Parts: sequence; C-alpha cells; structure tokens
Amino acid sequence: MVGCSSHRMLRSGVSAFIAALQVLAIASMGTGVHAADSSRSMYDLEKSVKEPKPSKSLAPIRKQTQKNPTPLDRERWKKPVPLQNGIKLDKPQAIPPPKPVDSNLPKVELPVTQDTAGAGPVVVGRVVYRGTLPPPTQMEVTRDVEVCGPVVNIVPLSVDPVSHGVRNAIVHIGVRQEITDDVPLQVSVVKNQQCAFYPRVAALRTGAQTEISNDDPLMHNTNMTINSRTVLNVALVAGGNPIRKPLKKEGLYLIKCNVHKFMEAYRYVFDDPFFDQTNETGQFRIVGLPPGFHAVSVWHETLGVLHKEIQVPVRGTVTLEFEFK
Amino acid sequence: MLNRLSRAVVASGVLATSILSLFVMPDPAHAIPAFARKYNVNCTTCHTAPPILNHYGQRFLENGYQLPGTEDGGITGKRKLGDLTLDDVTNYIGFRLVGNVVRNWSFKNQNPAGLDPGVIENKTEFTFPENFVLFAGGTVTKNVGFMIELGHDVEAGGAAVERGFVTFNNIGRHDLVHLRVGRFDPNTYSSYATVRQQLGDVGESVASTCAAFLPCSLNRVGLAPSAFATKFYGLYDRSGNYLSPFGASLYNSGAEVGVDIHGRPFGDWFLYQVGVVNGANEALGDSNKGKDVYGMVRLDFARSKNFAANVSGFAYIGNSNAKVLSMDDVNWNRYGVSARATYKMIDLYAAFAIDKINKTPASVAGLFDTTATGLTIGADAYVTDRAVLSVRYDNLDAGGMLDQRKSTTFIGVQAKYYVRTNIALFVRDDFNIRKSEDGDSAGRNLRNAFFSGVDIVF
Amino acid sequence: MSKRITVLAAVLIFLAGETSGVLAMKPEETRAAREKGKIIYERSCMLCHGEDGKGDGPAGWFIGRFSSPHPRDFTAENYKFRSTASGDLPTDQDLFRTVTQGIPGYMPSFSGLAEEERWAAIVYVKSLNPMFKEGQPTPMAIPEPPYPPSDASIENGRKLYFKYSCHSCHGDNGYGDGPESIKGNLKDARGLPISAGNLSDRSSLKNGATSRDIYRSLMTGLDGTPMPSFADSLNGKEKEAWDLVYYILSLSSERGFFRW
Repeated sequence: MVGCSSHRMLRSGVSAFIAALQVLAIASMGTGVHAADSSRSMYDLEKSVKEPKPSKSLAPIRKQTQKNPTPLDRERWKKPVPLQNGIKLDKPQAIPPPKPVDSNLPKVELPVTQDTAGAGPVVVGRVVYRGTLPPPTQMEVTRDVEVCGPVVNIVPLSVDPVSHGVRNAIVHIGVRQEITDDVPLQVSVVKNQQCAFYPRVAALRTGAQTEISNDDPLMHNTNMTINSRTVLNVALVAGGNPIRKPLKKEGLYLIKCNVHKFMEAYRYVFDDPFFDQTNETGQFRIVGLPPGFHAVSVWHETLGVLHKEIQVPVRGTVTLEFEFK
Repeated sequence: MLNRLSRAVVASGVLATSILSLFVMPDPAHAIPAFARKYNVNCTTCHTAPPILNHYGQRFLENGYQLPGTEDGGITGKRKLGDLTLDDVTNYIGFRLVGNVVRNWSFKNQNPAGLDPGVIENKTEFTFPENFVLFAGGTVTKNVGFMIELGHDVEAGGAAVERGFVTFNNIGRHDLVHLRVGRFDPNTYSSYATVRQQLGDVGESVASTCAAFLPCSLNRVGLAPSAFATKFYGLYDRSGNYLSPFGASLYNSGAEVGVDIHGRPFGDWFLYQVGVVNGANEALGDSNKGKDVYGMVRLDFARSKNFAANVSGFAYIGNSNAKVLSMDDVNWNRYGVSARATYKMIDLYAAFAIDKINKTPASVAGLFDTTATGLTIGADAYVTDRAVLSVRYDNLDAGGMLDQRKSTTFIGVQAKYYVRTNIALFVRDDFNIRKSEDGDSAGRNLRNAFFSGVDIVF
Repeated sequence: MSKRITVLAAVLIFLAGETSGVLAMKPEETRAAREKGKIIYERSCMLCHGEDGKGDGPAGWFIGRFSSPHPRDFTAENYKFRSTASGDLPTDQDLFRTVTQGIPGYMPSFSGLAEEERWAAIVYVKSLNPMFKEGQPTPMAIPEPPYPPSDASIENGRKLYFKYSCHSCHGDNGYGDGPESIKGNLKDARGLPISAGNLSDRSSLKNGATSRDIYRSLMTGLDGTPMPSFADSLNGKEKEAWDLVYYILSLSSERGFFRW
C-alpha cells in the first residue's frame, strides 16, 4: 500500500522522529523521583550547659520576656558544641491520648501552693538509657554557612555518662479525674538562634503562649504542626518582632524550619499540670497529684515511649526509674 | 544474535533517554488534553495512567462527560451554538498517537511451509506508531453529550470512524437512566474496559491464502486481552471474512452500533446496563434480522483509605451474529465477569469470559468445539510519580474447528515512563508461556515479542 | 469595639466582592442541610476526598501519587487557601470560593452545581471537622491594591523578594527551582514531597493569580505547606507588601489575568 519513495521518506522520518523524541525528552522534563529525606537533622545547643530546674510546682511561673535574655541564656547558645554521638532517627511517637475522663469520679480541686515538703505526694525518678549510643551523624550545611556553620551535629539523644540519665525526656502522669485549677499560664519561647530552635524540647500547659523570635541575621520560618495539622507557619525576618501564639490543644507539636531542614524542635502540651522534663542527669519531679492509681508515660523523641502504672499514696515520695532499651 | 544485539541497542537508547531526562530541572507539564483543558485539571484527576480511568473519571464518563454529580453540560454548555469560537474547539478535541517504534519477533520455527514467506522470521523492525486517533467529545448542552473518534491505523491503512455516539443523561432523575445511541463500546462501563489497555493490541498476521468461508491460517498470533477475544477458530462474518480469534468482539468489541442505557438508580454501589446492538460484526447496517442484546450489572465497594473495588457480570446474547464455514448462521453468546481493585499506586483488574456457540449446523457438528473461554489478569503500578510498570496474563482456551484451534497463553510486561503528563515512552515484552509445547501452529511458534514505542496525547 | 465591627463589615464586603457577583448566603447549619450536603458530597466529592472525608478517596491518590498534593483531609487538617491567619480555619466564603473556582490543575470547578448545592456540600464538609464548631474564624483584611504598579515598586519588590528569602524555594526567577525545592527538602504537613510554586506561570498559582490573591497568599500563608505567613513580618509595611506582590506578578508574562 505504501509506495517505494514514501517508504524511504518514512524511514528517514522515523529516525528524525526518534531524534526529536530524545531531544524533547531531555529538553522538557521533570524529576520523577524526589530525594527521600531520610535524615532529620538536629542541632542541640544545650548539651554542655546546666539547665535551671524546670518548675514542677503549681506556683505561677515568672513570665519570661524576650527583649533581654538572661545572662545564662546568652552563655548557653554561645558555647561551641563538641561532636556528640548521634542516633538514627525514627518518627517521633507521641504518647497515646489519655483515657477518657470518668465523669462519675469526684472532681479534684487542687490548691495553689508552693512546693512545701510533706504537703502531698511527690513522684520523683530518673529516666535512663544504658545502651550503646549510635555513631554520630553530621549534616553538611549548604546554605547560610556563615551563620549556621559548615556542619551541623545531630544530637537528639543526650545521656549523662555517670548516671546514664536521659536528658529532655518528658514524663507525664495521666490522672483519670477532671482537674480544675487556676494556674496562670506560662510563656514559653521558641528562639531561632544560630540556625537552631531553642529550647529543643519543652513541655507546656494547654493555653500556654509560645513566643517565637528570630535572633539570627537571616530569614527563618517557624512551622509548627500537630498530627499533620499546621498550627502556625510564620516567616521571621531578621530583626523582626516576636510572635505569640497560644497552644490550645493537647499533644505533641513538631517545629521545623523549611528554609533550613536541619532545624527541629518539639513541644509537648498537656491539659493538666502533672508533667516534667528531665534534666541532664535524667531526673524528674512531679508534685500535687491526687492519690490513687495513675498511668505514667515517658516520651523521648528518638527512644520512644514507656508506660507504667503507679499507686500514689496520700503522702510521701514515690521513686521510679524508667529505662529505655 | 544480531537481533538480540540490535534489540538491546535500541532498547537501551530509549531507556537511556528516559533516564538522562531524570537529571534535568523540573518543569511543570503545561499541555492537557481536551477535558483537562476544559475543566482546568491534570490528566491524573480522571486517569490512573492514561488511557485507563480512575474511579472519578469513570463516573465522569458515565455522566456523559459532565462532572460527577452535576448536570450542567460544562462551561460551554450554556452558550448558544452560534457563539462557539475556535478557542472553544480545544475544549472538545484531542488526538492520540500511540504505537510501536521498534518491534522484535522471535519464533521457534522460521518460515514454515504454507505461510507467507518473510513474515515468520526472527527480526527487529522499525515501525511508525501505528495508531493515530482524533477524537472530539464533550457536552453540547445540559445532559447531552457526544463523542466521535476517528482512527487511522497507519500499518493496516485506512481511516475509520471507530466510535461515534450521542448521550442523553440523567433522564428521570440524576443517575437514573443515561441513554447512548450510535457506535460505542458496550464494555466501557464494566470493571475492565476494552478500549483502555496499557498494553496495546498487536494485530495478528493472517496468511494471504485466506478466502471467504475457507479455513484460514495464521502467520502470527495477535496479542490482545484473551477475555475480550473472539476465541473461536473458524468463525466468519456475514460477508465471509475470517474473524480473528484474537480480535475483541461481542460485548467487548469496542465498537457496536446500537443503543444502550445505564444508570446508578440506588446509589453509587450499583450500576446496571442494558443494550441492543446490530451485532454480527458489521460496520454499518444490519444484514440479519436479529439483534443482539446484552445486560450488565456492576457492584462498587469501598471509597476510602485509598482503596476501591468493583465487580461486574454481563451476558451477551447473540442472534445469528456469525457464520461457520458452511455459511450457516450461528448464535454466538458470551457470559463474563470482570473485577477491579485499586489501592494507592496499584491497579489490579481481571476479566473472564465464556463464549458459547448455539445453533451449530449439523454439517459442522462434531468438528466444532462450541465453548471457549478467555482469562485476562492485569496489574499496573506507579513505582515513581512518572513510571508505571504493567503486567498482563492472557490465557485463551480456544474453540472452533477442531483441526485449527490452538489455545494460547501469554504474559506481557511493560515499563512506561511519562516524560510529561501526556507524553510517554514504553518498552514491552510479551512471552509465550506455552512455547515449550510441540507443534508449529502460530500459537506455539511465537516465542517472544519485544516492543518499544510512544504514547502521545494532546 | 464599633471600629472593629466597621472594619469587619468592610472586610466582609470586600470578600463578598471577591466572589463574582451575588454574595451567596450560607444556609443554616441544620441536620437537614447536612444530609442534603452528604448526598451531594457522595456524588461529586467522595471519590477523591474519601467516604469519611479523610482525603483518601480511590481516585485521589493519583492526583499527586507519591508527592503533594493529595486531596484535603476534611476531618483533621487545616486548609491551604484561606483569608484567615496562619493556623486558623477558613471562613465559609473561603470554602465557597474554592468549591466554585476549583484549584487549577487539581480540583475541578464545581460551578456546575447550583449555589445551594455547593453550600449544602460545604455545610457537610464543615461538620466533619469538630474544630469548626468552635466558631467562625476572623478573616484578615485583604484590601484592594492602594496604588498601581510602577517600575520603582517592582524594583523595590525585587529587593524584597531576596530579602525575604523567597528565592530559596521559588528560585531566582520564580520558576520554583530554588535550592530547597530542587533538592527535595520541602515537605508538606503529611510528609509528602512538595515543590515550590512556579510564579512565572499564573495558571499554576492555586490560590489565585490576581494581585489581591497573591497578597492574600503572602498574608495567610498556605497552611500544610512550607509557604509561611508573612503577616507578622510585613505588619505595618503595606507598601513593602504590595511592592512584593507587583514584583511577583511581573515574573509571569501572561496578560489578561493582570488585574491590579
């Protein structure tokens, strides 16, 4: 059906067609596969510095202002960070939601008192990890090197060599009763400093204000999410004013900067006051609990979650130890 | 040896192009065919990997090319016909160029006696993508839609109106009755549609000695879904033309002239379809008095967690719609089930059909196997945003003249890469599961077929 | 207090003008309206957004495949295209606009549904997220451009584009090829890879391509994506904001769209 000459034309047309296809393919294309972002990077500023004991009482916490950070704050972020053992990261697991409150139980009115010894039961303890710390992970900084430094150290797991205490774990005691108290709400900071969020981990009460500021001479954005829902995503220009946002929902909040993918922080928000954050030796202290059986949960961003049931007496001290395997 | 080498060279050239293009800067695809243009969406809003429809696209088709749940005829439906401009035409028209650029055949016995020389040889051929289709479709006004498809098979030659029909939708109330009149694919609303294949049909090669109502030898078998195929060796249309055992037919023919209605009167979970067609494998007109009728029922499950599944069953009753070599009419019926399940990137589908010939004349009784079945199972998976891997298993348990029939079983695998949303390159290989069995018949002789080609839609 | 009401009324009237023509009134959020909306949802929305509204409909996965975007999860996520502050839910008018105009490239426009049908579907969709019960969010003020674009304002906008680090995601010429985007570092709130918008192609600006739409995108941020809100950074700097908007518009060449 096809004539001889047109057959020849067809063949040359075919080879031109193939060449054109190849040109077309190369000239206008997109990457089909997105690079998997397998390493979440961390930059822990606080390793070598003693942290003041976080307030465990129900006393009102002094409001922190951002204009003049305390001398201790300045020292903290200026100290150079030595290479630390890092750890391979999995997705942080949140503590499972608390069991529903049994509304038949009597409501507990909590007195607003100072932390006086003997006033009520005290739960103390330590969170430890005795396993081997995985080899360090470092991330190369490819933008804003002059502020962020050439390399970023991943230090999500910080363990005291003597006591094996795990720092920055959050301990929470789930009380199966409705709590009403009038604790003035705190203001907690999220500072963008030297291309990291400070503090890296913090525990807050529902309704607490976060004050987000940028102390670096470059652009950051602070993107806070809880369970894939955006809570706040604001751009912070260098030298801009701090932004306040109340955290109204209980749960684990993830804070990231999209401009610098190695920046990360966590905030854990609770409806009740029975929580604490471990210090550098892994110790915690929770007061003001009503007596009875309660569930204690410990969360760490990479080690996971541990649970325990305890019985809290009317008076006295309960000492616990949690060991992450 | 040479064939394998040249095949490898060509394949690697095509693949290299695709791989190289991975390292080029991203650029969003701009060109979108007719419906995508009209509704300003991507192809993947309605398609899994074009031309296969996802569940949203299926409902769009069922609703006569109106968005599911709507009845307004789309954005151009509200204008008077006289106001349409050439700009609007792009909302109706698209074209597709699809087919192989390279073919490679591998046979057990080359150039067997009695068949056309030069056809059954191990060789690699360059070809031009053999199917060019121009289609126009959409809505003209509220609840009235149309589609016309003009196909040109470059290899076989000739252009024809493959499909052309008008739809009247949402008669009675929404989704109660949709009416379709013209030349259409009856199978289009079932779980596995004929005209939407990832692995394109490859025609068989019939020996030039074939004449009306005479036994016909095959040079080379065709590669097409077995469930939809004719399945019988020794059937003819009313003019005596040999019906290819591999060609799609009856309910699954892809083009029948008639009228049918479908709807989802009780909600999204149930679809019915009933139709009457001329049948008898005739392009136009009806030379026999009888009409073929069919009915189909489909059940849809699950619409969340990225999962959906459906199953359909149909019966097609033929009425003197084929002839045997004695030139007598036979009734050729088909009963089939098909199913589909989609979960995220994986699309799984299958069809099984049983064909039965009734009213066989005494002259062929005992020489003619009146039952044939076909099973097709396929799967597609997006392994990256742009690459689709497909596999299809076809088992044809043939019927017909006992001395001619030969069952075939093939598996085809294909890798398709979407250079842009509407431009794809593919490589494909079909291999014969039964090749180790004895015999020189066409069904055993083709051992392996390799193809590489393009699929371009605008 | 009355000043606030006046401002709110002015804002609402502006928003009303934004939806072409009549300000459609939302029906009361009664059970009957929800049930009617459910029927429409199941015909028109379910196959992408899922039976439970979780964005997991069987057709929805193919829209983005392994990347963003995927259909919205109505039960828990917040919405991308709004006129409210970052972290807040959209107003009813925001939802109506999205349903009516669609999202170019991804969600068809449902102007083919009658107005009351669209509102019924919106009432149903809102009922899927308990956070909507906590009250109507307050829209931000999105005014009309106070002055037309000029060479000086576009040049100033260019400086701001780099000052606010837009180029790190959107690229030096706005093609969406900034270093963070190219390297695949950008992830949406679900963890799916997402690429920065191509500012040179107005038809791919999903939140709209008019100057007010771009201003709105800058102010509200696109929740669920790395695009932040610049409301606090541009607070009190209206001229900077509009200069930046005009520069972004100047990155694309399409005409006819440009309505300042």
